[in-house]
Amino acid sequence: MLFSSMTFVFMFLPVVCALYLLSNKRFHNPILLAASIIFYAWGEPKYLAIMLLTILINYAGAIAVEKFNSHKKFWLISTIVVDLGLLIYFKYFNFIIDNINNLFHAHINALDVIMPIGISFYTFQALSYVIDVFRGDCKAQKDVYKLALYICLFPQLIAGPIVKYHDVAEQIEDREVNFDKVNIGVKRFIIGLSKKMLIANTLGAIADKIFTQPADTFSPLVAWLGSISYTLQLYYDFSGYSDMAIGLGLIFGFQFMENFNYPYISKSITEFWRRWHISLSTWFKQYLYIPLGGNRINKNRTYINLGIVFLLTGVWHGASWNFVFWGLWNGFFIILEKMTGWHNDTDKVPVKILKHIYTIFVFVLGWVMFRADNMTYAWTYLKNMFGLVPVHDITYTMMYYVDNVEIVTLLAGILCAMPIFKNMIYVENKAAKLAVNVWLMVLFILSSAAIAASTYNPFIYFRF
Amino acid sequence: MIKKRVIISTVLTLLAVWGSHNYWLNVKPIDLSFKINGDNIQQVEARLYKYANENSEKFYYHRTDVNVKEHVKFSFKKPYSPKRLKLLISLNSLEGGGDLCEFNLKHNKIKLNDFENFSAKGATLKVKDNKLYFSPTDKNVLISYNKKLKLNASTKFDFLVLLIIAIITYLFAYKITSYLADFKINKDKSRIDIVFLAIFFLILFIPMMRISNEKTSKSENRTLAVYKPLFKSKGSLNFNYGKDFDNWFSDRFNLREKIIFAQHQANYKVRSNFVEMNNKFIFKNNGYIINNYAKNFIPFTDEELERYSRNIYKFNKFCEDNNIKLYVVIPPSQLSYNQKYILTYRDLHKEDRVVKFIDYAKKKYNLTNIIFPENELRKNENGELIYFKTDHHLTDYGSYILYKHLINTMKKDLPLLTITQQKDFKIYKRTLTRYEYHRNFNEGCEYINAKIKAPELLKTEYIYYDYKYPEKIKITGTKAHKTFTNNDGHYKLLIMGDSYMENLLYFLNTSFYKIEKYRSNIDQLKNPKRKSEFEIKAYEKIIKDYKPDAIILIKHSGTLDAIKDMYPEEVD
Repeated sequence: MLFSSMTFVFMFLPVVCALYLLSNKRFHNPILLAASIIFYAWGEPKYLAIMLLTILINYAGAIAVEKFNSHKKFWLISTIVVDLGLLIYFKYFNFIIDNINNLFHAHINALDVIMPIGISFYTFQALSYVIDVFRGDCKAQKDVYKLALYICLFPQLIAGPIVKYHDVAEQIEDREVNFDKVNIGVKRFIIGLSKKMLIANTLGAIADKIFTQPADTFSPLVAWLGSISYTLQLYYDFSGYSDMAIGLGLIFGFQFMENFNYPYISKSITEFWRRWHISLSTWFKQYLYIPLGGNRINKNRTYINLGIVFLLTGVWHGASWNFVFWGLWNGFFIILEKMTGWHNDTDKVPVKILKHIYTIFVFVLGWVMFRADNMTYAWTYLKNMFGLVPVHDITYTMMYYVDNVEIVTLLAGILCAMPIFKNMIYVENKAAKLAVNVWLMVLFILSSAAIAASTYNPFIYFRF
Repeated sequence: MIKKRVIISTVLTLLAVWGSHNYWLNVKPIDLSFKINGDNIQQVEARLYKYANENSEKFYYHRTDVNVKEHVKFSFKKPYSPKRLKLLISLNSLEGGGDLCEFNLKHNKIKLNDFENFSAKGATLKVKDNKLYFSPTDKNVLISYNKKLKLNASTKFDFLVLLIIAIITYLFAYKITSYLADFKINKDKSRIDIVFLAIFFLILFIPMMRISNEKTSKSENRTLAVYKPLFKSKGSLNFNYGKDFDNWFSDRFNLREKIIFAQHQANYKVRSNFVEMNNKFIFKNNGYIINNYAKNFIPFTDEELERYSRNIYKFNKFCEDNNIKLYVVIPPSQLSYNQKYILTYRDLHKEDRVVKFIDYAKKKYNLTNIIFPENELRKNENGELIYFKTDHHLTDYGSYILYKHLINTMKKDLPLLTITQQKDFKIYKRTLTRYEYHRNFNEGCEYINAKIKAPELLKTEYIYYDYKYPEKIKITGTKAHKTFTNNDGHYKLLIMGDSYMENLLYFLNTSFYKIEKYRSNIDQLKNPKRKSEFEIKAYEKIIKDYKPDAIILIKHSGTLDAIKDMYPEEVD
């Protein structure tokens, strides 16, 4: 089920909220667990089995880690191998086979598997749990239902933020649901929904129009329009989902970590990764970078560790060479910044501006790799952006891509990517609060209308 | 003293009871029927007024197109207690006039035979032989029944449903009110936030408050999804339940039609000239609404050229073996034909792929019977519209050009065929469109699908042809499969393909003795049973039994790829 679907917003959410908020506290966890299972099983019920298997494996694995202290490393590694094994099988197996076939001219048949939705997120959450228990940061959960609730809690199940077990262990046991949390939660949810429905979808339509054409059949200007639209789409889509997840978490009494902190105002790629998908970068930092030695050994080892982290960050995002190159692209600039000290703060305004421009260039070009279907397309597209490919067969004029609505949305997208309206939902002044609430209600109604309108599906007799 | 929360809950319960009155107070619609007869009547609109005041403009209406002589029926859900009746009759011309009789209201319970109580604006009235005759002085005739109507819609009251709704709503409202009140008492929360949250949660519940039980959506031109339970009849689990439920709810939630219309209308209004909506392009400056078939202009691959040509060759061979002439007609799509009006495109690939396909089929398989009439249509435009602006089909004018071109081509094989001349048609202009064989006028399928209200897009006039001797043509069958018989015509024809056949058929049936029509691109065509639109194996028995002299296969260029599956055994 998607947060931006009719069923979720206007059937699932009101029913779950009504049941949860009007029921006694002791029913809160069972209601959320049942809701989360229904939420996950909605689209593809068969893959519920994989998630339940992950829950059981990690439940047993963590207890074994805690109980058999002398062999706890063995139990940890075994659990991690099974978790990653499932992830690799469903997400990367066909990619690996494909590359083996290409490399060795082999003919190994690909598997007929579909990746279970959210597997990358819940596997990382499960790993966080078992590693936390291994490190002694928290105790193994004896109640399988509570562990299940941690792993499959629906607000963050399919698109994060990746919640670490030590951050929410106490909240699962006991949490307060109060007016303030519900109030702020609803507002965060509306902001997230509006980001997704009003900005991301509008800009996504521009990007889709451009990225679905051969990369040498539009002008460099259109290529830039496509890459900037996609840059903003991705941010508003992903941060919108995170806002909705954080908002829903608050409605149910949970306090999840922030996942985005205005990443596009960064002055270096190092800073960018402190602001973008924070739950993933902190996960990699806590569970991979630091165990590899972090920056404690020597400079060269630090660079290698960073390279490994960003290679795996790329791979985590998808089974394709695009993501591998995108990860390495980010890793390369972070290492470069570390070597040159470019990421250090400066007071000189021209240097600050230069750093902003450099950072924007790096991530916009990086997102082209992220969006393209393959690296050949990405390469042609990147060359087109700089006028390095002969363009032919231009089909559409600029009017096809942008009209006044798209221009306003693009400008709004750029403006809202800066921390101008950062704390507006926390204002206490009555007049300001009224204005914010009215504005949020307008956004909610517009977003709801957009969701409702997306169900319109006229059938024309041109397909059998 | 009564607590505030009891009062609020009671008020909310009363509101909910009022809002759900359709569930406990079943109101039967008021039926209105009458007979209408007249050569030049385009459309009749029946209005039931809520108030008796002669000047009141508060009325509910239904309208329908009228074909010479019809028994018209309307069903009014509102008003529950109408006070006045009026009819607005739209005419093609002032020639002739017409008559009305047998007015019935509420399932024949009320008959309006007192014709002397009718008056008219835009016409003079005369009563004769229990009929009300009108002679128009204006193209729009408004006929009013002067007496005040005395009728109420029948109702059925269900007390148990009312009781259940009232009790459940009260309990729910009381719980919610208490919940919010406790917040207020305990924590002194901002009233602004309380109101905000109350509105938010209220909005969340609105779409599920009433689920539509309509079977079809007129504007979407499709059947709405039905509810499929979690457990199937044999007790097995429906693993698609989530998706099925999504489809069902998305098609039927409360206020769906109104919200979609508002959203589309707002989208249409805020954009400058070019509006893209549901894979359609709307051009405000010239009134065109065009389906985006652009992806279908990608040139055919060598494999596709070979496969399409081989399929046509095989079908042609079958026809030759059965002594039948085959003609494959590919009208250009509205998008490619009207490129000059569509500023969105810089250089569309036009119809190169169709031309290449025809060349390939001619060279490789010696097929000379594939007709692509673009040049013929352009040559004979004479400043008139070949395609509608708000509909992707050929106009009557365009269809007549295609008809003449087709008959001229077919005459070489079927020499008795003649072209029905323009003098045999009544030719006139109208701003509405029509393409289906029932000849009803409407705003155009693209306009209806776009679900907007934009009268400024509907001002273009199109040329129409009405055959002067419709009584010569006998028509039987359904929209999907029809039979036309004309004793003055020659030869038997079978026509299969898409909606582009409809306007063309109107002319073809004046030339042929018998035509069997198979609208192959709609799923209402149950016989022959086929896996794909043009699965020829499925049609073979029908063709052999009917023994036509000629077959026309018609498919417009935007969806030509349907030819791929004519012979499924060729599927790799």
